[in-house]
Amino acid sequence: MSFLGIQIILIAFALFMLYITFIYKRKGVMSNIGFAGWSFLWALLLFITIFPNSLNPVTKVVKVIRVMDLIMILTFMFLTLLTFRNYISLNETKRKLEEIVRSLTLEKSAKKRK
Amino acid sequence: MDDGSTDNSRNIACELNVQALRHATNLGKGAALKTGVEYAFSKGATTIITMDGDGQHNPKDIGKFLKEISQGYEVVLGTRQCLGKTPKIRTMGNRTISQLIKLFLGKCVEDPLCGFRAFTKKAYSKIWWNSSDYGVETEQIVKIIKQRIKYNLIEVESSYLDNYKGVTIIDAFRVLIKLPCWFIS
Repeated sequence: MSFLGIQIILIAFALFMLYITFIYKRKGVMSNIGFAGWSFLWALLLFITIFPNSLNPVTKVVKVIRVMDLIMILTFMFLTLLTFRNYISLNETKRKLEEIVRSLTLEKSAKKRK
Repeated sequence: MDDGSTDNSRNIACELNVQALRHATNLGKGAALKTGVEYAFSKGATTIITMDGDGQHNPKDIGKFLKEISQGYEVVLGTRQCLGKTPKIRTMGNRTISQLIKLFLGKCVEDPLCGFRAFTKKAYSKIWWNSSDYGVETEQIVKIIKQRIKYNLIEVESSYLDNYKGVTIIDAFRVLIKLPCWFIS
């Protein structure tokens, strides 16, 4: 079994990301579910990279000619989802931070007046 | 209102005979204004006058705002008559927003980014803003026009002391991106 250059890069990337995910889990910043989800994703990338033909049946069902096209479409969908999720989460965090800082400032000034 | 400054502003303000409030971290102009305004209302204020913190406005103009409020206007917006040289990029940004407001809301506000304003407690409850950044002035104007609040425009003195503080081109782009959301909300 011989690998193309791009496959070697992707295998190295997936293994590196698996390691990074493991480090974050060990640091305690990632939940068990988060760890399982991300590990599954990198393992899936590893599997698809090593066995790209395993996606052939899927390409026939969704009427996409090449496996590479299917992977690109799925990747863009996933990135869009992540960007949207990050956007919502960031806005929510900013709003909460603003609420906390502002209420602390007003509470502090009220205490000073007393 | 000290919005989490890292210089000596806080200590200087505390030495003066004024009530100084401080955000534990920098939130932005819009958030700082809200905290200051709500504090003032909690102390019994009925009218608020806001000025930019870079010293470009002349406090002598405060009387003009109070006069307009006493005549029944809920909001008074300053229009800058610049004594110094206004940076061209700022003039362009101001004109663009002014034209967009005219196009979509049908009202002419010559200087929509001027921070020298006055509003009553009643008006504040109607124009309460979500913007925590430099979008606050534009959001206020959109809300004032859309809610048909009685407002007036007055000329105020202004002098730019430097070209670098305040609104940057990135802030201006943020305002332009948010503008359609305020128009349709």
